[in-house]
Amino acid sequence: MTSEQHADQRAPRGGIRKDQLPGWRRFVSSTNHEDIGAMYLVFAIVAGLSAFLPSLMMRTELVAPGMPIFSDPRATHLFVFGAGLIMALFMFIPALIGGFGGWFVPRMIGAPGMAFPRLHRITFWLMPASFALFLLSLLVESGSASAAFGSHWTALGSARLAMNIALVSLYIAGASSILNAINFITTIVNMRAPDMTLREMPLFVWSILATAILLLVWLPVFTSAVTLRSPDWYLGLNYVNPGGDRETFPFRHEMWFLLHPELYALILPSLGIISQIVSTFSKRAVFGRLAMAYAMVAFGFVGSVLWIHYLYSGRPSTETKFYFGLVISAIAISLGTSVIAWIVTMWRGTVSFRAPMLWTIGFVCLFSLEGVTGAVHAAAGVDASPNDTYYVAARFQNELTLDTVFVVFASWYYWFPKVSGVLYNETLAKLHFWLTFIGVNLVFFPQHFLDLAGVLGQYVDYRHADARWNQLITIGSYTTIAGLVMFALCMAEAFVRRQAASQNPWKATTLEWTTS
Amino acid sequence: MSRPDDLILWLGVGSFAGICLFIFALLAWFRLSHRASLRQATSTSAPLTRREIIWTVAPTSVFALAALPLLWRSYLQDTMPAADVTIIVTGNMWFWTYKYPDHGDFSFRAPMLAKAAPDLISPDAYDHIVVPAGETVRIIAVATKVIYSWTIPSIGANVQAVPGQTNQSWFRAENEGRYFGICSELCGLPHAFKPIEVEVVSRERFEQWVAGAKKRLTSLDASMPRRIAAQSEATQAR
Repeated sequence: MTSEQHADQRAPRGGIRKDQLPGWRRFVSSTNHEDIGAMYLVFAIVAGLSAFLPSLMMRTELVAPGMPIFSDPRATHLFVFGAGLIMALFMFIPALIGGFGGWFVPRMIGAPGMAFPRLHRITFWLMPASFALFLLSLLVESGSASAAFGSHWTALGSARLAMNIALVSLYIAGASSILNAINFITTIVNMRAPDMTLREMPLFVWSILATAILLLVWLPVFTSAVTLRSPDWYLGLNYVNPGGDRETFPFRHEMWFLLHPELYALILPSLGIISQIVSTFSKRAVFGRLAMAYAMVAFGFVGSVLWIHYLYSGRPSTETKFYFGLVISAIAISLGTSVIAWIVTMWRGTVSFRAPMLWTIGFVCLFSLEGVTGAVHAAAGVDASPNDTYYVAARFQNELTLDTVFVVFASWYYWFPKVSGVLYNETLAKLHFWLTFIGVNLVFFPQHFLDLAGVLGQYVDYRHADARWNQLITIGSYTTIAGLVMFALCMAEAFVRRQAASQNPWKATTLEWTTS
Repeated sequence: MSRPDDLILWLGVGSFAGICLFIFALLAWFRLSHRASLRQATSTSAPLTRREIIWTVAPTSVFALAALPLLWRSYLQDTMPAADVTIIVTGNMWFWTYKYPDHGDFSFRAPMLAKAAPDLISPDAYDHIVVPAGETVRIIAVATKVIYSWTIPSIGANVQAVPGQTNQSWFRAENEGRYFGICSELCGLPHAFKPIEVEVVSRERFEQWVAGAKKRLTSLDASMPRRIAAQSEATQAR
């Protein structure tokens, strides 16, 4: 059975299904949640590749002391932040929430589609616009004469065209996320199958619900801060005017007020997906399933009230540090419990090590590693020193690019038979995993040692003494390319060979595999 | 870092590495002993509540143990000892300005780097600050326009300079020598090119340096080497 036949067999679901329209027109005019999910996934792949390029250049630059590649040393700063923001906003959020969430949440709860199909469509079409503006902001020249790329990448300081365009881009992406959140909450609360109570929902649906509430509550705060920044520059509103008579205090706090929950919005769907995959491949219900669901909601709630731990070296009061230090340790408890829950699930289960499971175990390893470094970062008494250093950079990249990339690939391989109707080649997928796992650890683990050696942040040049670790980073970066080549081969092989997948190849128990 | 800090650091690293190894060992053990081929299908019934409670209480107690010394430390951190030397650090776009208010109130500007490597810091006399060894140095950080962070990892100094805010921190460097750092809060694209250097010397040499500096640094601009002036004109274009 080919994928077309497979697609034909699906009964028309919610929204307008334009199967009759040829090629791209079907997708452009579609309000079907699966078509939009597919577009989200393609968009995420494009954004992911475009973020990979600058990060690769950045790490090629580290191959030797001095400046072997770049002519303008400031390129590194631009690439660090460009690549990071593209990955977080235009790859992970679209892939996990719009893509897999949009595709599978309605199916998992037995709904015919999203509650507001047209709203779902607009959330997708806002993303390319936002992405285009973001790329533009990296390319425009402004400010001092020698800046080849958008200069002064900071929201404070004086008005810069590049930063204004970037803020508008964030504003549009934020609007898309808010609409998405409304849509998901409505769908999950109102459109479940008649006999499915909230407690019986799959963990992935729980995680998307928690994420949607998080985004809906905190994004408007961020959006207001972003909205007030440009009039401040151009109309003299004086909402935040550092160096003038106002403090940067509210602006910083409003930014982190969202940005911290935003990190949790990236990791929450991951928790749901990982629970789902661990359970499927261990042939066993997740250990403490309901507790896990409550933990995710609590995690989202607590995660939104501890933003100050990025601002320790900004010298908050001692009592403030006590509060934030303790609350963020509480986060570590809930995450530690979930790691143990996954391990215990595997312990009593019958584990088969297919590619999605390998990615999942890789995730659990990295997640616990990043968890313990996070405990150091969280502790107010210690963190005033590592704040803003390479340690935090290493940790953040571990959390964002590693954990989330692993989840994206785990879910990609997991749902691939369902999404495409064909099977992928297991050997190539496993090679992809091993190359990526070795590569990313070569990239990110030495960063911790570099931090201990007193290197600060990601700069274009380094001391000769640090050459070895930096060269390992370059090697690791190229190993991940080999992994990506395996991924491309695996996908090409799957679509050329077209070996039809059975209805439920993993013998999973959730609804999306039983409906066709 | 002084000795107790080192002890806490390595205790923390050790216990966290232990937790990680424990988790990895568990995972490796399943890899070897719980393959699907070796086992019959297992029950899918819900496990015991008792076990669930154990797995929740265990991490909670680990973190309760870790939290107490850490809270004590953050209290210590915010307790300012009497300062022997006070230095006012100002973050500018993009260079640092230093001021010694208690030693004649002279100030100077540390230059930008032509290339971003601590190796290449020029040995000019007033490029960097000089402090006496074994004495408490208070850093008062202020900023214009954007946020900076005055960071020297090897002496554990990290204080953000935030516009509209006055932050203070302190350090005590026990050994003489030169310590390097770079701004660690992204403050614009030339962020990496304003190095931080501290020279720790004996009390006598510090007094000599202060006397010399007071004499020569009558005004900020006169002391500025020509190349720095040219460079900062370019970056200060706006």
